[in-house]
Amino acid sequence: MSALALSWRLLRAGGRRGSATAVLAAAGSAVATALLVLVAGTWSGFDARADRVQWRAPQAVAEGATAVQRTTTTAVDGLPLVVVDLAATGDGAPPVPPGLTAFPAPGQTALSPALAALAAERPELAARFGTGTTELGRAALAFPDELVAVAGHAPGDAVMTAPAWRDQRRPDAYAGPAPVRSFTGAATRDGQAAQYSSLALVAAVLLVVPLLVLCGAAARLGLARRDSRLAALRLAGATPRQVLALTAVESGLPAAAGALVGVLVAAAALPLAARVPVGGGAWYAADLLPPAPVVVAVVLGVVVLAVGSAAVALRRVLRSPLGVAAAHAPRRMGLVRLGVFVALLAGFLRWSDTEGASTTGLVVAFAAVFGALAVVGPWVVGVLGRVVVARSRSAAALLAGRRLLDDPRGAWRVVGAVAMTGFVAGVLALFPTGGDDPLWGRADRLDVAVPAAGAEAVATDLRAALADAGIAAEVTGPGDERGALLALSAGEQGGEGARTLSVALTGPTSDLDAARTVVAQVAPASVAATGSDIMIDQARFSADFRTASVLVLAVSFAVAMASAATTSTAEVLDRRRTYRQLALVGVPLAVLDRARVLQTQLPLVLLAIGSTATGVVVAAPLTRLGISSSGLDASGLLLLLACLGAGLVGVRLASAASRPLLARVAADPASASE
Amino acid sequence: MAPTSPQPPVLAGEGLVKRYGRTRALDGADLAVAAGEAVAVMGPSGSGKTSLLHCLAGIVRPDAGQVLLDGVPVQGWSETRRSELRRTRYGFVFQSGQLLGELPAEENVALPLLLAGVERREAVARARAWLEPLGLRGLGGRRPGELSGGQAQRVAIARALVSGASVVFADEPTGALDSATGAEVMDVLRGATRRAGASLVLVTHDPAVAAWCDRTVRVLDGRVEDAAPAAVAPAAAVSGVFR
Repeated sequence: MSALALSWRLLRAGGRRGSATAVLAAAGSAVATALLVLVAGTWSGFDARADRVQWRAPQAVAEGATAVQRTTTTAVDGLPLVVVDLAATGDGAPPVPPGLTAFPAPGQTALSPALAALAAERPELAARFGTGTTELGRAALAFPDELVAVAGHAPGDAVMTAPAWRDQRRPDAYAGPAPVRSFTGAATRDGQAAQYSSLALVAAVLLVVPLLVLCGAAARLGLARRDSRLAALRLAGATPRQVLALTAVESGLPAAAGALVGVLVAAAALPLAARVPVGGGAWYAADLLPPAPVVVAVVLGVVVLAVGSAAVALRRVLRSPLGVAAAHAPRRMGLVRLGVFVALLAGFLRWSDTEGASTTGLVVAFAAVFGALAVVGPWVVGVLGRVVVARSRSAAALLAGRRLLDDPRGAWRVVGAVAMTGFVAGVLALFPTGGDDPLWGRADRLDVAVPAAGAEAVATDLRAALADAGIAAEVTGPGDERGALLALSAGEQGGEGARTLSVALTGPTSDLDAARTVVAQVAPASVAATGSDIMIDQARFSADFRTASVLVLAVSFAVAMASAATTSTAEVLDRRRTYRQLALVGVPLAVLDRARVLQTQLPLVLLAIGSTATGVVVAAPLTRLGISSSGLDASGLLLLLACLGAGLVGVRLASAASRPLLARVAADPASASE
Repeated sequence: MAPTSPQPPVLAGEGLVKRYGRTRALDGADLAVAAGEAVAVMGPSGSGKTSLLHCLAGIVRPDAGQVLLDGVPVQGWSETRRSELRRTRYGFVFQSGQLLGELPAEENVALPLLLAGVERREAVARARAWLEPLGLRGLGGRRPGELSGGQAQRVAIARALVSGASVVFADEPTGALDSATGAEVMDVLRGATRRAGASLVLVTHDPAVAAWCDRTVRVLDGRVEDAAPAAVAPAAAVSGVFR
């Protein structure tokens, strides 16, 4: 009989309990796979967005240009609005920009659906862009609700001959005008995009580790039963290789089935996940589809992990057929575990202090420290067990302490994922939630960069045009380039210097967008921004960071709960004979339950606090990854306390979930002596 | 009519009926056990031996009939009260697996005392005092996995008696042991119950084991068929640990 056939036979012969275990294991794999696929999807989602907006950054060519391109960023309602100005040079047919069916003729404007909808309601936007003669297709948009306008001009228009502005604080905000031959653009992996990459990477690491713990826990379900059965097979003459094959098939089959279900679940959840706004808006669902090889890798990874985890757990059976039958004294958790953790933590802190340490390297080291929690965790449980045994007075406490001491790894499996969540909370708590006050300028003052030549005339025209439009504003300037709000440098090719005008609203701030329109019409070659505009990206990133924090915490928390619930269920199933015998000799259910609760709550409190502290310590250097840190503020502290509280309650609920099973097992003491 | 013994019974089952689905495991079984008496319950597989033990020990409720402990009917008690009864008045020795693998021997023995609220130091001291005469001196710190089968059964016996049980129920206590070790364990069990003044209800299919008891009853088709005359204890019983 092949290993496959024999496993199938044993799986079926296992009856309800056997199949229940297999179903639980499969469910664990399914959850882990679904989340991993979604995380991978987010990663490729950022790539897909970046790919579609690349063309907006003009790729200047020295000769053979067929068009001139200029990209500027302004704002409406606190949202960024990207304007791409295009003009055909007349030297050959220019290529069609993404999202359009033809190159825009002078005066022709294409608006993204969201901008078109907004322009239909706002006369000042309609005056600036028209109501959109053409709709800009999704090939040109990062996400469905993005505000983008593509405007056609004549090559001699002021817009197309303006100086090339640049704002060091926002490298992506202004580009061109530049002569271009194509709209392939160049990957912009600096500034905001890099921040989002770091964010996604950190989030992925924070999620993957608890998911791996869940996978391992799921694969070890029903281990006691499998252990003794495989030991019996060994006694019956099965070779280690055959037992290993059986284990691989037995743990691999449910894991594979679960992983496939997980892929389907992820696919079903995709439209829902796409609604979560990140980086300015919700997603195109298709963007969140990870590439097929990644999905295959995730499925294979989950299966390999399940098989590996089960195989490692069966080492004892493999070594000797009597390995399980004769239980050994508990092996103490070696101090080496503590050593590994301390060494990795110290290494991380030291390296993060080094000048020029690479971001990727830092994240890898960060992941290593995170993973090392799983190494030191069982050691801590073992030490705790010794302390509890020494100090326990009640039967329940003694039982709990002995169990911690007897199987620190098992106890860690129940609480480990929650402790890991503590680490996540610790990391996130240190990142600032960010303020909304502009660091530069004012929210109600437009600073306008204009070419030095004719700056005085522009100021005069602006005053007149604003008065005509009925906008109460004070126009000052032109000042010189130094001290200008917009740290703009004149474009090399124009050779012109810049001057700054200030348009400070003295009337209602709701006039701001109307004022922008007036500025755009009077001085098309200029760029204008308020202090808030400059902060838009920062504020958006802060908001996204908050969203990501909550999501990561919620997901890793749900995963932790799932781990705790499955593991404590498995614990009852694996110990059902003992529980029955105890009930039979008259040990009250309440004592058994209290022992179970102590056995999880005690290590949980200790480990959650320890791992949260580790998270805080480790996050400090990470906050330098382009994210400014304000230290542990009140909201971060609140987040931490909320997480710790929820973790304790959650694990309590998870073990309460298996209490009915315990009661059922204990209520049937008669079968214990059979 | 229940098989009687000279002294007033400490425990008696009268007209016990227990059904599992359509199977009548007990069909009007009677058994009375006197204080300090050792009764062996024998019978073929499926005859109802274990069901009788479970009904007498308050592990399951009989469908009909009554169980009297010191003359008080206890069969109708709630599971909580019966659980307490099992913890305080009864002791149990099974074939195997009754010890907690994570607790050392002495803590396994001390468990019923701890549950009764005895302070830990004292509970463990009393447990040790039980282990020594049972030939387990110095083994109190070992875990069940580190003990031989016979040693583990002695620990179980100590646990059954440590809190002053009136009746010890033993279900095939030597079933997992070779005959020599089985005899040793029976010697200890019989001697320890005698010393504690506890009665013993022992289910076995082995006549050699039954011979350690004062008398043997046979269960057949859910009824206690006869009361065998009190067996003469083999020589080993008096040459054992407890003289």
